[in-house]
Amino acid sequence: MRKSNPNFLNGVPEMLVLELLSRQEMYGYELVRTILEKTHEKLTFGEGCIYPLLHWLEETKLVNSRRQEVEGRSRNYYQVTPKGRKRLEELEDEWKEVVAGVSLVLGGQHA
Amino acid sequence: MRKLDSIEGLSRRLLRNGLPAAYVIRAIRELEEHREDLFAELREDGVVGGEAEKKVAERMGSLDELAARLSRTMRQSNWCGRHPVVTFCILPMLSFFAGFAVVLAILAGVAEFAGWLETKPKLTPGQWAWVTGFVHVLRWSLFAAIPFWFCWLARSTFCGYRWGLATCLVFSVHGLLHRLKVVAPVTGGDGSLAWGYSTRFDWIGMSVPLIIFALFVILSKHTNASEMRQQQVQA
Repeated sequence: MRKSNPNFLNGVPEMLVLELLSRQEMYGYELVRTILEKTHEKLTFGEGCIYPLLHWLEETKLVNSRRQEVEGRSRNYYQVTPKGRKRLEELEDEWKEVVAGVSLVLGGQHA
Repeated sequence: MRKLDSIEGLSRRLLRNGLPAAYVIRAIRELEEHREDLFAELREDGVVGGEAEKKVAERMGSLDELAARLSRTMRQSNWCGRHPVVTFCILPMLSFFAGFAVVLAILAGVAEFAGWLETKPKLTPGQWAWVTGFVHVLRWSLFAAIPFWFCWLARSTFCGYRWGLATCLVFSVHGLLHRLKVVAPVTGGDGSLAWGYSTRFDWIGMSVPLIIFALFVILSKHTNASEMRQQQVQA
């Protein structure tokens, strides 16, 4: 049976967060700042919304967290688990397929 | 529903939705820390006072939306939350029937093993009263324990009070109609266990699951308050 196409933007925030956390562990605010910087603020969202996503990722064992004190401030640092890395690979593959498909349509339009 | 305008309001709403206090405390702590970081960033940029408050609120996003997201995403993170009708409406009934069947089967097995069935016709009316009493105690125990356990499950899987209430309502209708009768053997014949549904309403059977739900909510609120107090003391 042919696999159905993934929803276009479902999973994008999940992919971005997993990708950034796979490079280094971060806390929520740091993660938001990094997303804004890396995307040149093209992706804007209510910053509080990062936490439901992080908690969901943790509950589904894609990331784990630990409380750590840095420069006198205690924060929840998140890092990707092996299961999270596997999920990230899947999401990246799906994303590449979507981008390739959309590019073909847009390319055809411009041709 | 009243619009949320503070983190404290968000915390109260999450608790009212039936999320576990430990999770609410953790989520609120992270949001507070995020707010502190935002204020610090704005202070560095020379933005302070009311202007800073306004900008922070803007950047954090709508608290109503955040409350809804926190409840929804956590619920979606587990099987029970993704299949609440099966978990909280169908499984409790199956648990009731299965629980009853298993305990009676164990009892029958023990009775056979001990040779009690041989002496069954000789059981005195007093002994039969014990058998009848046991069956009814079992029934009422399941009536109380299963709704309570599913209320607890609803809360710990982030499904909230409303799915606990759903279980209790299903059980309440079941209790209203369910009949159980144990008949002692007359002059050496066989006894019988009659089980089924009847239109002769059992109002006590209907009330028990609802009382259990009310007790669960009271108990949860008490536990939440004590956990929140403990958290404040630690802070």
